[in-house]
Amino acid sequence: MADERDDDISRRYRELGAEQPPPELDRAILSAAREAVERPRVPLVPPGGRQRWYYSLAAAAVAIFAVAITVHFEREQPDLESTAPPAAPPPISQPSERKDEALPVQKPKLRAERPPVFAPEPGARAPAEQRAPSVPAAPPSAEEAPANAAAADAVTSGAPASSAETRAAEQNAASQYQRAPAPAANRALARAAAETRQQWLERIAELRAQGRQQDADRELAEFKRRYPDYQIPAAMRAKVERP
Amino acid sequence: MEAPDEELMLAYQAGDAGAFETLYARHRARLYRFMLRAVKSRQIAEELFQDIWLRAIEARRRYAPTARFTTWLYTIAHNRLVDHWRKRALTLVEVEVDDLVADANDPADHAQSRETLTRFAAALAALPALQREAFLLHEESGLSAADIAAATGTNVEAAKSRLRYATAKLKEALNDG
Repeated sequence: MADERDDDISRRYRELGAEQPPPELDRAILSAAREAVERPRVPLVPPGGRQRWYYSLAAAAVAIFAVAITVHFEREQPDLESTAPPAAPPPISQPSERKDEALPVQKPKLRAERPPVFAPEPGARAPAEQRAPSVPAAPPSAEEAPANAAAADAVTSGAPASSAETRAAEQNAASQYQRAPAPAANRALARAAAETRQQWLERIAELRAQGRQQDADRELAEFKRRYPDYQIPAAMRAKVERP
Repeated sequence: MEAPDEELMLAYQAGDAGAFETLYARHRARLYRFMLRAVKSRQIAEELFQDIWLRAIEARRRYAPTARFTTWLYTIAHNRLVDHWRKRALTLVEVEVDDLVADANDPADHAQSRETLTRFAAALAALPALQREAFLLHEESGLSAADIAAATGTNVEAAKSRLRYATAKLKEALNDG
């Protein structure tokens, strides 16, 4: 800057005066400067009591909401039970009525509590196999229906079927009933609905022992048709098959 | 050893109000005169002076010591001044020459000094705005040509040119007597 500086000019300029800002101006500016750094920055969420109040209110709201939901469900469950139809399935004497009754009852709890139509056989079985016996669960006739239903209830002591299984069983039973060509087949289905495979085989063996070979052959054929994948134990096979 | 301006500004940025008081004490008079010589009325000069400092206070969080504090402060002053110039014609506060030379002992010297200062003040007032601003920044705040260029948003050569023209015209006014 030495090139542009001229001492004489600078001296003359200084002679123009050395004015100072008035004291009130100084005070105003310094006061503003102090306030700027002493004033806390305003955060988006004020950190004072309001923040604590906010979190307390939020926690209380969550707690009230949780309690309300719990009470609501507790009150709603008895209502479902109180509106439930009798536990025993009604007689399925008329397919159209049976279908009409089975479909509207869709409440999950009721389906869960209803015993399966066909009891699972003791021992390990695949789920597919467990569902398979439920197919002949539909009673074939009006006369046999109550007995079969009672037998089914007696056989099924536990292991509630799922709603899907029950619904499929009901629908399959209805379709099987409609497709059933002869009373003999219907009776076989009804019996199958009421007994396990083991019982069925024992009954076939009994027929063999009684010399009723044709009946035994017919029952065995029906059994193999029902359970094509079932491996009859050797000891039982010797009893049920024609000698 | 006094703390440099930049260090004081950073301290103020961190919340030290005392650092700002020191900074203000250093620069208040020069900035005040700079404004006083750059606008028409004393009242406006004081309003602008206060506004510049308030802008500096508000902008403290954005301050970074990449340049001299003086350059940063006078950049704010220049921008504020340009805003003012856009609204009003640039004129200077009239210098009370009688008051300035009243302490001269010799009446002849008094008269000569009065005449010289009157010419000088008139020449300063007659300078083009940018030349006068460059001259005032140089004389009042001690800014270099590079700092003036930075503060006024121009290049160094232009700042030097303005200073040279301003100095030459003021010198010519003094020599005329």
